[in-house]
Amino acid sequence: MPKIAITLPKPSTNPATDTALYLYAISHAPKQAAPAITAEGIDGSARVDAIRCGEYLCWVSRVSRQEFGDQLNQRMQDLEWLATSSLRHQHVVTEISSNTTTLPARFGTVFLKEASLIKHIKQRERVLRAAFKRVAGADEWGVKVFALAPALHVTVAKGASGAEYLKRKAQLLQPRTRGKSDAELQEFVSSLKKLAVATAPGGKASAGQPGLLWHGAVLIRRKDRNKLESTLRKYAARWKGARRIDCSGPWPPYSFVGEHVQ
Amino acid sequence: MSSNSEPGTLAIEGENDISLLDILDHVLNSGVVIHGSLVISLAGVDLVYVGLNVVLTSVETALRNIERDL
Repeated sequence: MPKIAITLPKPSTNPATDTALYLYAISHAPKQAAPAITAEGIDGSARVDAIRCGEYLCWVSRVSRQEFGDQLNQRMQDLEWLATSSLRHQHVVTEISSNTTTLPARFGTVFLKEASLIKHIKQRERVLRAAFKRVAGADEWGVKVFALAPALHVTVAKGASGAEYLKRKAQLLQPRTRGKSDAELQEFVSSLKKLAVATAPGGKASAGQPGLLWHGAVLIRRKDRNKLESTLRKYAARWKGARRIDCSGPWPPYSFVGEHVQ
Repeated sequence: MSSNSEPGTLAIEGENDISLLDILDHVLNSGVVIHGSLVISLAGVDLVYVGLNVVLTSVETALRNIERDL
C-alpha cells in the first residue's frame, strides 16, 4: 500500500496568548544597562529579561502559559519538577542579587501580560520601597535546631520482662524538649532576634523533619555575619550531643519582602 | 563565601550540602508582590497565583513520607 504523507498543521504559537511572564525578582533600575543574566531560565530554555517599570526592573522569563499558568498547580505536585524548577529560580535570583539589592519573588509568581505585571508593581510601590529599605545590605539565613536522637541502647536488669525493655526504650525516645532546655531554646531564639534586622517563621517544606525543635529565617546585616556565626557556635558547643544547629545561607531575602514581616 | 555566592551551610558541624528542603523553605516562603494564597482567576487576565498553600501542604506530606521511608 502506498504511503500517504500527511502533514499535520503546526501548532499555532501566538506569544500574546500562549506565553506568560514568570517573575524572579525586582530590583532598582540602574542608570546604565542592567547586566545580562546567564543562569538558565525557569523552564530550562527561556532567556531572563528585565522589564523596566518606573524606578524598578522586573526580572522575568517568557514561558509556556500552559505549563506555568494553567498547569502550575499540578506541576508543583511533581517533586522532581519542583526540585529542578525551584533550583533554577534560586540560581537566577542569586545572580540578580549579586549585582544589586533585590526583592526576590516567591517561586511560582506568574503574570499573563506585561501590562498586568506593571500594574501590579505600580500598585505596590509603597510596600516595595519599604521592603528595599529593610533588606539593603542584609542577607537571609535559615536556622534550624534539631534534637539529636538519644542513644537507643537500653540496658535492663537480667530477667526483666520484654515490656520493661520497651518501656525503657520508649522513655529514651521521648524528645528532650521539656523544662530547662526549652528555656535555653528561647534564649537562643532571642539572641538571634537581637542580632537580626527581622526574623520570620521557617518555611513549611521542612516543618515535618524529624527532631526539628525550632526553625526560622533571620535577616542579618552583612557586617553582623560574624556575630551570627559566633552565636551559632556558642550554642552548638553548649548543646553538643543533645542538639544540632543547621544554618544555611546567605539566601536572597525571600522571607522578608512580604507585607507581614515581623 | 561572599554574600554574592550560592547559599551553602555555615560550617558548624561539617555538612556542606543544601537540601531541596532548604531551597523550598526559602523560595516558597513569602516572597515579594504577593503572599498568602491569593487566587485571581484566569478569566480576569491578571495574575496567576495558584493556591500555593494547598500545594505546599501536599509537598510537605510527600517529603515527610520520603523521610520516613529512608
